[in-house]
Amino acid sequence: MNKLKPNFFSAPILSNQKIGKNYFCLKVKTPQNIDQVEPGQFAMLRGKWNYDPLLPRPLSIARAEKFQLDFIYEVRGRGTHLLSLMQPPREIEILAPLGNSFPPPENSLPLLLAGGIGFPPLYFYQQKYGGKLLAGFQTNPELDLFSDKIIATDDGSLGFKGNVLQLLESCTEINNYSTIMACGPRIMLKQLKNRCSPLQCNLFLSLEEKMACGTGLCHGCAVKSRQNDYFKICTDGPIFKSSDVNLEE
Amino acid sequence: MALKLNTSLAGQTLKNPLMTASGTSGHSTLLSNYFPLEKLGAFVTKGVSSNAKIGNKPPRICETPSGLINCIGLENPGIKFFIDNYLPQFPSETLPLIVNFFGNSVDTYIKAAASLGQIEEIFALELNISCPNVQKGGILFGSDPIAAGDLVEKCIKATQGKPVFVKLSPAFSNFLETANQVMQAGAAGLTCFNTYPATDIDIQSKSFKLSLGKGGLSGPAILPLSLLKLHEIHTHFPEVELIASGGVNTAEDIIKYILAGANAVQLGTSILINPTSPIVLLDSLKNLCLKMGINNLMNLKGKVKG
Ligand SMILES: Cc1cc2nc3c(=O)[nH]c(=O)nc-3n(C[C@H](O)[C@H](O)[C@H](O)COP(=O)(O)OP(=O)(O)OC[C@H]3O[C@@H](n4cnc5c(N)ncnc54)[C@H](O)[C@@H]3O)c2cc1C
Ligand SMILES: Cc1cc2nc3c(=O)[nH]c(=O)nc-3n(C[C@H](O)[C@H](O)[C@H](O)COP(=O)(O)O)c2cc1C
Ligand code: FES
Repeated sequence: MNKLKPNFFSAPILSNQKIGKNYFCLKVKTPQNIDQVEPGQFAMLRGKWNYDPLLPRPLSIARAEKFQLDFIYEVRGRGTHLLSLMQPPREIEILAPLGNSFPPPENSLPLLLAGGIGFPPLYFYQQKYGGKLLAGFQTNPELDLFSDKIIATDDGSLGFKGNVLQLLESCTEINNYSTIMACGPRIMLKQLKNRCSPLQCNLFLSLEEKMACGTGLCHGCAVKSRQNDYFKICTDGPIFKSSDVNLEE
Repeated sequence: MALKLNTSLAGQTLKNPLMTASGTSGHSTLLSNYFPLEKLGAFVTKGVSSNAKIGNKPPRICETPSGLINCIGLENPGIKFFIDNYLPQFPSETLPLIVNFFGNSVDTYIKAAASLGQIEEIFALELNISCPNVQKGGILFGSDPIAAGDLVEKCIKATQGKPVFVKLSPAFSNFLETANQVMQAGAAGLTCFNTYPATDIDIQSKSFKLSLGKGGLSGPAILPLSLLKLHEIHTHFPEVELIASGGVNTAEDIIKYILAGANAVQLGTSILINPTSPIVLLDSLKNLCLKMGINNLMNLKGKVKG
């Protein structure tokens, strides 16, 4: 596949709207056609504020079409809060596209498992290629993106009461899938890896870590490899075959 | 009159005073995805050691107001791998290459200096003395001026004539004495400075935010601190060539360091925030010089008043 090189640009905001409980969707205009961006790739984003927050924030690409990139993000701290206040015609600094991507489907469609704000890259995948998506949240996310049937909430305020792995066991047969892709909190990914280890399936995980550069320069975003050295999540990932990484460290 | 941005270090002319800071542009030419590296005055590689180092456990970075604390742990593939695989990528004819190195004992420093000293494509070495000496209970080389001078003298002997710049730690109050000792030992100049020991705590989990419990602070937060210390070194040793490192993010910051006595200026955290920052800053430096009526940037060296 002809992979797009990362590019640093100032992107005019097209819209930045609240789409759920604490979730926003940011749409920006890009200087180049980004049709080749693949689900799983991400961007580093920074508003043109002074030095605080200092670092850009990594966000997965939730949709890429022609000259438009969409992101879906949850307001967690100062960076995402300030981001949520930015409206057109302001511009935002973006470094994208970064990282590798989930593999396109081969013979059958994959199972896509999202925990919390891990859903945007899997949502992108489903929109582009299809696949069965299940998404877990702590509480009703008040999003208009999914049918209630595919949602699990810890508090039972929407859909299935429990986590996404429990929803999976209750509604489908994990053995039916030769490929599973997942993005979410580390604890969920560890549980999923353990669940899948006796099975024959290919499990692909999207990993997160604090990032300074997103482009391989700082070595800040380490995850232990099976060989006991470190991968850089931003350039060796963020998508890894589960057998290649050691999530226990 | 044409604007002159060139500077000189160890007898070599650099087309401008901007260089990368070690550890913020990797070991290879990754940064050339974003601009032609030849635009830089020089390129400083991430630190290398004789033996590969896998680095520290995550989390390795955390952000503080206008700052970044890191405990990467000097991850590197070892000097042999670096020389065989990464060094040939650099356009060394048009881009002076400075290789940063370190060790964990006098012997490993000397071994590293000897391997790198032979390589013709390398313009100069940058010796990072902010490292613990495992043979002396982990005491940092940079904390003891006599030990630092001794180390530098031995390394310089091993390099067979390659210029060695010593990168000082800002963490010790005796940094002027260390500067004195390492210059007497034959260093070509000083890089001022490495990061500041620092930490941050997550109050929810009641734990340190970094795996090591602490790391080194960089970014705009440290600029005023390193600017003061660099000027103190320049005042005491006006002949010594100084490379500034610490918090540079604007053309104004570059001019401040030159006024304080720097011959060249490194960009570290600013490249992590924006990988095109060297060319952005080079452009704004040119504009600022024109606006300020400066024809020869290096005429400002050490010219701060009062
Ligand atoms: C490859 C990648 C893709 C991501 N995609 C998305 C996405 O599509 N949508 C989205 O909402 N979030 C995504 N994240 C997480 C997002 O980057 C963080 O939530 C954001 O950086 C928090 O910034 P802040 O200033 O608001 O919070 P801070 O004040 O910095 O921190 C608030 C909380 O967020 C956690 N956090 C901070 N940085 C990260 C990080 N890099 N990864 C995970 N947790 C972090 C902190 O530990 C803390 O608990 C992604 C992270 C990575 C590494
Ligand atoms: C992620 C990171 C890695 C670093 N690695 C090294 C290193 O390997 N060797 C070294 O001498 N300095 C290292 N430094 C220090 C920088 O070279 C620089 O001196 C310091 O960050 C201050 O400059 P800044 O504020 O412009 O970043 C590192 C800094 C950062 C942020
Ligand atoms: S975030 Fe800098 S190397 Fe990955």
